[in-house]
Amino acid sequence: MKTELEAMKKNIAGLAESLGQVTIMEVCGTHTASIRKYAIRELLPGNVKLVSGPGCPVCVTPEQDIAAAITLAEREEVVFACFGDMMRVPWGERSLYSLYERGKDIRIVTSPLDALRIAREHPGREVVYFGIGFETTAPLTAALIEAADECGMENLSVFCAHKTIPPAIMQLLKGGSSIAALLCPGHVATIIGAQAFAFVADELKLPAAVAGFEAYEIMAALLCLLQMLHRGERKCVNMYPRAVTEQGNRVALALLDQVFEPCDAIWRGLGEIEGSGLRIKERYRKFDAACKFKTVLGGVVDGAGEAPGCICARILRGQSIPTDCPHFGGACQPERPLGPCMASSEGSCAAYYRYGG
Amino acid sequence: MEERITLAHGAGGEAYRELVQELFLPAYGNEMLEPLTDAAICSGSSVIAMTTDSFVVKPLFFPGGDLGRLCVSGTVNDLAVSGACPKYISVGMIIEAGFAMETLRRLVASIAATAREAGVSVVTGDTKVVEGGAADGIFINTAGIGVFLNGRKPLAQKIAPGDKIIITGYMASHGMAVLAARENMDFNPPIESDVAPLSALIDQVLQADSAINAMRDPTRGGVAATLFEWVTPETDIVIEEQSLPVRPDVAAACAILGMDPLYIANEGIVLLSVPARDAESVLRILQSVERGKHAAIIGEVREGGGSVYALTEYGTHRRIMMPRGELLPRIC
Amino acid sequence: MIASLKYEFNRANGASDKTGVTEMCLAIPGRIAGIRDGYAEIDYGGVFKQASLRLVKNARVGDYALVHAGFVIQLLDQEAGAELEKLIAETRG
Ligand code: SF4
Repeated sequence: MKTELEAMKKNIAGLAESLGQVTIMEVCGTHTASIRKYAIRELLPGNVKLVSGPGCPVCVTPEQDIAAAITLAEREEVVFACFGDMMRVPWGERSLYSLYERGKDIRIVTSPLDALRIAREHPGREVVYFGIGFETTAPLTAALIEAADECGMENLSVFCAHKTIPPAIMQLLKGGSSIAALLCPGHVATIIGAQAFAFVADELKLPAAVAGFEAYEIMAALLCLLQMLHRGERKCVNMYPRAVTEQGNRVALALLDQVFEPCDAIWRGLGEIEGSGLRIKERYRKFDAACKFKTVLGGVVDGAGEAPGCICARILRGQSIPTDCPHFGGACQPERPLGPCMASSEGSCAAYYRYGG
Repeated sequence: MEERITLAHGAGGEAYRELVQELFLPAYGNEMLEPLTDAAICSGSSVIAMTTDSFVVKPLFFPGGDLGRLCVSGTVNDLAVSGACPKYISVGMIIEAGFAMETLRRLVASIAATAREAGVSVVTGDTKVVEGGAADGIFINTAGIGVFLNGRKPLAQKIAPGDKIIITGYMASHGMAVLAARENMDFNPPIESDVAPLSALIDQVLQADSAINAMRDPTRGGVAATLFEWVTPETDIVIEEQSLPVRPDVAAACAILGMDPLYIANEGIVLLSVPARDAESVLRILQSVERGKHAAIIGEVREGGGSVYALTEYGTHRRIMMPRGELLPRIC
Repeated sequence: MIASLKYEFNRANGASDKTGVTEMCLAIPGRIAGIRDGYAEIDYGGVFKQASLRLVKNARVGDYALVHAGFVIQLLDQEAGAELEKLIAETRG
């Protein structure tokens, strides 16, 4: 493997010589982590720069949603179920983790189906599952809602903050930017198919490559992107064929369509993006925590304060890197994060912190 | 004896006497404990090692171990890595009223068995009972004393450039076993903890008179935390990622939960920093013992500036950061 | 390359007992060892865990599956190693 990697490294260096400064964006938190974990930058020439886009689902979840989640989790009757990633995201002084430390019933789950089990075990309590994530994770939440419906579960609902990636990429890059090529998220593509990223080449006129997560898969995709830049081609290439097909996972897509419908959604750092969210359809409305707890959530206001000086918004747009932030590694560290990019283990700030700046 | 612990068991009266006579003495029995005097009288050396640690774990019983085995092993290992021979421990318990006697019996039996395995005597103890809800079932504190025999000296615990870093076995097994049990991960077969007293294994190495610059059991914060305690402003530690031994089931569980085994707690392994010339012989001694079978050299100490690096399988370098905060399983 | 891919595959599955740091993509591959009531028993190199088959069709014992948070999200195409190699060869020009 090392020799293949060496070969790719040489090829990339060779291609980069004929190109000026090349900035490639990746929009997947797992890519961010892999790139840092394998120290892939060490394998790239100086003029090839990698930046992270809005690929970490925790980081792009807006403050309003965090506030709503914390408000629900604080309620006496609620058992709040969520992924560990979300726990440390701060909202003012509070976070789900701080509630958990104070003894609130918050369950860290590793699958949405855990929420179903918890609801069954606690018939007298209201179980609320926090649905976050992109197209990779949304079908799992859909499966949870479908299963809850099938067994007539009364005490389970989903606070749905799911988002879809393509509209965000479109919004971010459509006005032109310094980004020369796009590394497309492999697991999102597993569900929505490589063709869902064709618009990057066709409309944004940028080379795109769907990439896997091992070092050689990322290097192969980068090589492919540089080759296209070198030749002046604008295509979307599937460099993760073992998991990604052109059309994606039709069963999962059908289930998404059965349970959710697109809606406008707010992204931290990017603002409102048309059609970039997923809302629970009318038919399954009784599992929608936003409806079930409407009166409770009505009063939740935003603005309890993004930390002053936190530049997560710029980082999510690929305009800054974490080390540009004055708080990075000082006032802001993984166990007491000031912003979501540090709170989520897949956030850029956390990845920089863990794997060195 | 009653089925459950009551406040009376902590009140020093008849119930307490019964607990001592019928449960503790038969399990721990030795001539230093038996007089039941206020303080145990033990023999020692002119320099001794002493340590204490408190133990809480959820669940109390997990695959491969339990709180009893843990509270003896933890203290014994802290003594052993100082270069001392662990001899005596105390066992202090804080128990919640309503705690099942049968569960206590099992824990006490485990403490006794682990103490025997480690070659230490339980020479004194204490039991307090608190109201239901005031403690999470049971907390145990153990303190231990180790002696320096045959002219052995406490280890300097200072690494030097050129040292090889040796690990005595698979890492992250204990932490992942407890996590998987606590969170009902349903791995099949269940992930087993390797919690164990390591005094015998360490004694083998000390007997050979090898030069050992530092030795530590990488408990909370995992191997990464120990490397950070060791590294000095004048040195770097470079570990080779591919040589880190991780049991396959533990590696799979770490991957599923998005956790890095370097940061996961251990209770059954030791890290050593050994001058290069002695590294191979120390490794051979370790590997000749069952508990050290999977020992490996995982890296080395270089002159540098106080950083810890991992050399990836691709020949690239990654800085390892200090572990912080409780690890949470993650999913995206 | 194909042999190496296989190595990677085994490595990701923890089949080698020298597996290094494993924090990787959180959808991780495993082999379907059994199927019952809509659930697959996934073999991650000796340790087994269940995953729902709600999101895939035609899963069979022996297939390699990509698992994310308790669900199989895709069956892996084992022939695709060759395809990636071809793609890399193409990009080399
Ligand atoms: S380092 Fe902290 S404060 Fe700065 S941008 Fe990142 S998350 Fe925000």
